Amino acid sequence: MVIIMNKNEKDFMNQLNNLDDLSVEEIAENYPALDEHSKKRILKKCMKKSGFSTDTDDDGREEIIVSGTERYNRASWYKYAASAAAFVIAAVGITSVVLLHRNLNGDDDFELDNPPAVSSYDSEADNISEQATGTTKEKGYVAGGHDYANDADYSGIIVGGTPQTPPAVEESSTGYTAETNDTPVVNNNNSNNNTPVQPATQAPVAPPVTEAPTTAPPVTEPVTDNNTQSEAQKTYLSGLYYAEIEGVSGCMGFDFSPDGTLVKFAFNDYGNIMDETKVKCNYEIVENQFSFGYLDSELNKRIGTIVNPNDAENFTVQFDEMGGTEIWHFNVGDPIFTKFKEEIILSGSSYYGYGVNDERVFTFYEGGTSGNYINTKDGIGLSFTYFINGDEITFHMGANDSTIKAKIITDNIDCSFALQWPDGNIEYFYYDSF
Amino acid sequence: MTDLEWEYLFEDSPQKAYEYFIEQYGNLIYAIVLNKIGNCGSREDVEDCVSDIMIEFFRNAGRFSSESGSLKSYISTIAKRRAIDAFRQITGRNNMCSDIDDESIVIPPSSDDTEEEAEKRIFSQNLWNIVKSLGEPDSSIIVYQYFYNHTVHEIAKMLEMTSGAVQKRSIRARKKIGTILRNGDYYE
Repeated sequence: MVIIMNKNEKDFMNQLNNLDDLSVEEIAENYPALDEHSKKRILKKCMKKSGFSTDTDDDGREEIIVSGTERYNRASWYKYAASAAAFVIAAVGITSVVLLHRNLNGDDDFELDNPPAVSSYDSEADNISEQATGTTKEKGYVAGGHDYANDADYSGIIVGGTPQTPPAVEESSTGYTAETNDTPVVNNNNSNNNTPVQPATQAPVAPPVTEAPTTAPPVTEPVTDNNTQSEAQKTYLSGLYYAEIEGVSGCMGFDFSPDGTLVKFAFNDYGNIMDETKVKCNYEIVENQFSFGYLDSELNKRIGTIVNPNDAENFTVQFDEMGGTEIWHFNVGDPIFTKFKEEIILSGSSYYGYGVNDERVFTFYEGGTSGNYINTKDGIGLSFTYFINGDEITFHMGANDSTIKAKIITDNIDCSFALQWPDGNIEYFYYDSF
Repeated sequence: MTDLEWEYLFEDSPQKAYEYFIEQYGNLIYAIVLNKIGNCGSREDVEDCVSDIMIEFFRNAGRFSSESGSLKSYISTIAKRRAIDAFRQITGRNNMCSDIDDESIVIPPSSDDTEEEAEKRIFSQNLWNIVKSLGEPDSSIIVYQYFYNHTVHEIAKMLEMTSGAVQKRSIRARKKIGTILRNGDYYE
């Protein structure tokens, strides 16, 4: 069995067409496949082969029978013309490849003039220069080309919590905030993991961080005074959390702000934020009793107790009415946020596309510059090279090198990513697990 | 309905007889044919073969004897025989098109092939058991996608779901099947 799977792992599902008679009968009974159109087509074939005529065509309309048509013979010159055209196309293609090859070899500065990744690091360079001049501009968290800091509804979401930290702590911060997917993310709260996380396929090296960023330090010592304890917990809660909920796909994220407000939002399985579910609330913690209410209703309601307030890694919340517990993990270093730390399109991976054609599979090769696509319906395939700049991806398709630009969409979609093609159509891509 | 009643119905109105027959046994015949030629023939080939089977049944309706088994078994036998003929035709056609000098066509299967064939059969059976155990709608999605070769769009329409949901469920189901098969955690 293992041999079969290893031999052709991608196609082993096709082995479903090799079943015994009883299984086939079971399928025919429980999973009928013939719709009305298929039945009519088969009926028509039966009638035609039996020498009878049917009253209707496949769509149930009256059939028009045409007779006395003349047999068409294709002109003989067509074959020679097609051969000549094919030869010309092949010659042009080969010449193009040779010329391109020569140009690439002859121009050493070519790559330097067109570095694919440089533009995505411009913003980082800006950030460093701004710090040097003492006019550091707080930059928010940007995921998939969307700047959540500039979005009024997401103004508090900063990985690492830098902008949200109290003044005393902010002084020791490097001001290093996670930006685009190209930018490394600093784990601000785990002292044993405070180096920038560099995405695997990014060539440029992250800027050196000499001081460990220490935003929103966890409370590690027991606090005796109630007021102090409450304040300390509020400080600790500053930043971004996500909840691990047993048996629920995706999960909830929480962006806590020291001013007592929080934004609840949902992630799907692909790590994308589902905007329509975000809710603004206020919250209060007194002696580990956690309460929150929706801002619209102006009503605070106690929901539960934080049972491990001094834990540096996560909170366990015990719910009052609902019962059960949830574990709230503090921001970075957890799988749900790897989406924001890595590329949206993972090189060395395949994605099923839906929305333009029924089933297109795009495979992005290791290296992050090339791939191929195949339409599984008609078997047509094409290789391509690609280049991502912000939320725009540029494909150079096939031998004739036709250029197509598409916009990458990650917000509010229930898939890995989506591409909006020049004609306005949106194609949704799902990661192919095989 | 007995074979003789089918015969009378056919004499009365061939179109009605075919319509009724397709309604009664169409899905069974279609599944049998697809099981034999689904991997090598097109949907057109499958429907051609199904129509041939129906014509053969009505031509030989008088030959059926109820003592030798049920009408369903009789139809299944015709369907399998015809489907195997169709398989030979299609693979012969494909081999002629692809490589006329391919000597493997005339070489009888070796013991290794037989062993591999048996292993494939067991694998298919286990796969089917796992697919059944997935529960709805995942089982339906996998059957329609991989047994009937329907597109995601067709399945979505059939199951009244969105295509995205079908695609997503299919990926998850295949992942689950893969995990079960790799772990050997299935009922043999």
